[in-house]
Amino acid sequence: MKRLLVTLALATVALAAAACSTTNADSGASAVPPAPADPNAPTIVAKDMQFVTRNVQVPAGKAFELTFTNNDGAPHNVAIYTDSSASTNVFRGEIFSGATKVAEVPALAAGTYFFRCDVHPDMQGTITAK
Amino acid sequence: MNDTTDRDLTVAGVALRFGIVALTLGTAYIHSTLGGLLFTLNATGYAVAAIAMIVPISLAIRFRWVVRLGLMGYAATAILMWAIQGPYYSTAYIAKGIEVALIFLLVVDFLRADGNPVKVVKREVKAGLARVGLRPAEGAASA
Repeated sequence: MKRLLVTLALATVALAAAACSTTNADSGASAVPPAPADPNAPTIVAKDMQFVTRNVQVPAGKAFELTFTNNDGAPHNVAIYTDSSASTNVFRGEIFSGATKVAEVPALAAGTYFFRCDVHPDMQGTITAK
Repeated sequence: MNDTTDRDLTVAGVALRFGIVALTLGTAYIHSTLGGLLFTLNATGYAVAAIAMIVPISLAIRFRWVVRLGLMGYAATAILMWAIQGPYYSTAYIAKGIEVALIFLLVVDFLRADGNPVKVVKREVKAGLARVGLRPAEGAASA
């Protein structure tokens, strides 16, 4: 029983250490931010725990590239929903911190969409497809 | 609950306590990196619990069983809230894995130090009631 407990304790400490290193790895910023193929691609910026860009216009009916720059140390993403109830998701971007990433967003029908950070749901904005 | 078991200095006892504190601080650290008020408060709660698990103050030692139960409930609530609202990504899975392991170690520690949790709670409630004069203390001589 004692050996088992010691083994368990050591294993859990190792797990905690691995968790800390993985968290750091998640936040690794790439040296060169990826550039979208389309120079007019919409960009969303997060800074100080809020979206700097709160209203974005995108072309309706065709897929587009979305550049997301997260200037925070905290992890954020851009998740697009049909409305502010956030019950129907149409796109969910990768969660990362301190980096810029370009994502391919599927075509949106004309209309207004709601986007937020899934980690911090009070970070919100609107995407208009037209 | 039991001063002698709380000062358990066997290898298993120390390793168990060390594991609990390490896991608690591990999940506190992860939550502290997430930003926002809720995560920061959660991280603070875990950090305070980690201190309460080992602080050598008589009051904390006397009520260590409450700390164990409280930390179990705290971690279980954090897991439940995450299961309901997410987000589901690698760091969150790691944090929840740590919290599950933490609950497991706390259960083992509770059983080693305090015994059956139901009996402990019953005994403490009885003792509390006796203290405020609502029930006779256990073992008190009857008239």
